Amino acid sequence: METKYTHFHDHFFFYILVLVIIIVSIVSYCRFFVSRDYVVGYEGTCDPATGKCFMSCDDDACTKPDYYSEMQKYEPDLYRECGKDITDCEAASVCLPSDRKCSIIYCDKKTNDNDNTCQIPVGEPSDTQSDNQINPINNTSI
Amino acid sequence: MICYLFSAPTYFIFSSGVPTLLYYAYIPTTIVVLLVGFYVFWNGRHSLLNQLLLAISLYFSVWTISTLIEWTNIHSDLILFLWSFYNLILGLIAISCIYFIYVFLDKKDVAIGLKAIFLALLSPILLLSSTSLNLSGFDITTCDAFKFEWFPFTLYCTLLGVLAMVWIFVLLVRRYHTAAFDLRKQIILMGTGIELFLFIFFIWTSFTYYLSEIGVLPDSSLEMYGMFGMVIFIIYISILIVRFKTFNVKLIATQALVWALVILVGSEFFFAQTKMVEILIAITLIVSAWLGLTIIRSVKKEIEQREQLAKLNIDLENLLKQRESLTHLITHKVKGAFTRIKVLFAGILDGTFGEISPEIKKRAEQGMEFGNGGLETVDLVLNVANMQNGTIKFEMKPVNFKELVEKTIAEKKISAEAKGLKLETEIKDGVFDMMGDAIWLKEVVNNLVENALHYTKEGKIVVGLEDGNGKIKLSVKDTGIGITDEDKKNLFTEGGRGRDSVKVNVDSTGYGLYTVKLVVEAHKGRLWSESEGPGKGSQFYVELPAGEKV
Repeated sequence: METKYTHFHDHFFFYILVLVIIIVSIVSYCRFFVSRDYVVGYEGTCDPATGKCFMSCDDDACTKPDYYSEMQKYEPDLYRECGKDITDCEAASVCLPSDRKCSIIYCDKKTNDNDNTCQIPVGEPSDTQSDNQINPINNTSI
Repeated sequence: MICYLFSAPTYFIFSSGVPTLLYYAYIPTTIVVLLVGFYVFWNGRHSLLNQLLLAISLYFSVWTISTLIEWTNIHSDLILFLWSFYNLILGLIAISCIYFIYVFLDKKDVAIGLKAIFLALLSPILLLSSTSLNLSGFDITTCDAFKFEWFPFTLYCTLLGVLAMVWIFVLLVRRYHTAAFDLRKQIILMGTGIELFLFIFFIWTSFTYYLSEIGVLPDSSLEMYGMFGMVIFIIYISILIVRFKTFNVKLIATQALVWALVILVGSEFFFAQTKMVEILIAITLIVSAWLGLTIIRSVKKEIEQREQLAKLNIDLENLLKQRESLTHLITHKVKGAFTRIKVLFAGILDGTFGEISPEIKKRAEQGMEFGNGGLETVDLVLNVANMQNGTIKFEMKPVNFKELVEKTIAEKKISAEAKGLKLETEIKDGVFDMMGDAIWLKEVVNNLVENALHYTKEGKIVVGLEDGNGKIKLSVKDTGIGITDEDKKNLFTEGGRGRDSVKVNVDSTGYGLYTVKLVVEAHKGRLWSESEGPGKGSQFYVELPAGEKV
């Protein structure tokens, strides 16, 4: 089966496709490697005594629960504040005035659609742990 | 940013934090796909079909390698960069598969209009893949970007896969109805392979991910089995290569391909981390080796037979050319020589060379007779050759076969009486009109009667004629030497003669009855003979379709 290309116009669409893919690759490279134009989501630290934290457990008995809030920050801001690794970076768990895009989501039944449960702060007028509500500390400037 | 909960990979793609199945599903599949893609391409670089198969293999490999890096790496920029191509590659695979099937079926490139449609279908992905509508962010806790994908965009790419499946199915079904038997088998194989690949790759992957998202499945590891869709496709491609030579890859390449597949399966032992996986690989290896051996053996046998047949065909063609050349020689040399001899003896007999003695006259008459006999033999051989190569065209006109038989019998009466034989007719009442070439039909009757005269020493020859059921049946019965069962096999073949025929008829050429056969078959009739055995006479029958009234 010898189906051969013989003329330039047979290559026309192929050239367009290759050209567009190269352009897309360059644009994507610039976006993700150079300008880092994207949002980063991660688990921020959360104190169950003061905030409505998400809670996850490593074992069934939940002997050592892990409390967190759901954070989202603009990558260049986060990188400026913490570097590549956010471990032990306090600025990662709060929204700073200089952050261009930042949001903190606390535990809410609507957002809490996985196995995680919410930990209500002590002294809050809560009936049950299912009394979840959003407590956004959201100084987002998008 | 780095995914702080995950450890960095070694050698870029190896990480202990990912399922073993990932390597089992991705690495061998990618190597096999690249191997087959490049192999096919290498064996026919100018073939568009081969180029497209390579393109699909490359897209798929880029996809698997990217996915592997995404699974094992912890740098958000690198993962997002590769992730942004995920949907683009899916779209390219879907469109390339449609393109591939068009070229497979039509054996030519598609029209420019269709290429424009392909590009139009890809354009939303091309335009949006580097924007935030494709990917807006990255989760460094889970080290993925699922939460930041725009659902309509992902859906569009999956739907392209579904579109490819439907498009290809419709194409194949439509073409199947008009295809030749051999192509039909290829269509079934190619169709099954590519549809299974598209189904498993697009539908299975999306479906298992969806089930894991809604909590039906504990995780999306089943998604990894989607890679085996490509293996299925490659298996079908391999079958097409070896069975139909669709991609013009020869036997040695096939053997290399099969063994490479076996080696690759064996190499998966390197990735095995549990006993269960080792057992699984061992079973796969044994099955692959057995299947590979079986395929190689059967293909080798088939290809040998094909090559032998092709060689015989070439030999036959050479023989036919030689015979044509011989015929040419007979026409110009032998026939010319006989004619000159005949003219020479005619000149002697008519006194051109002066008065001749009675002895010379007798010899000249014998010479004249030999010359005539020689010319008749040459004409007989030439007629057969001309009928075979289509030089002789039969002029089909209304003929009264009865008149033709009676005329021939009248001409042969003298020869029969000279041999002391009775030549009788048994013509029943009926209609003997038919469409045919009168000259050649007369030659049929003439040859059969002549044949009976040659092989009958004493007794009689009875020529019968009857009609019925839209057929005219001619019979020539003699009390001659008869036909043995062995002779019956060669009776109507080219140059075929009975074992003892030359003893009775030294001039036997073996072309008389063959000429009869060719003429009868050209008139859509049939010819056969009967004999109770040697010395018990023979009967020849000709059945011709009755036709228009003269």
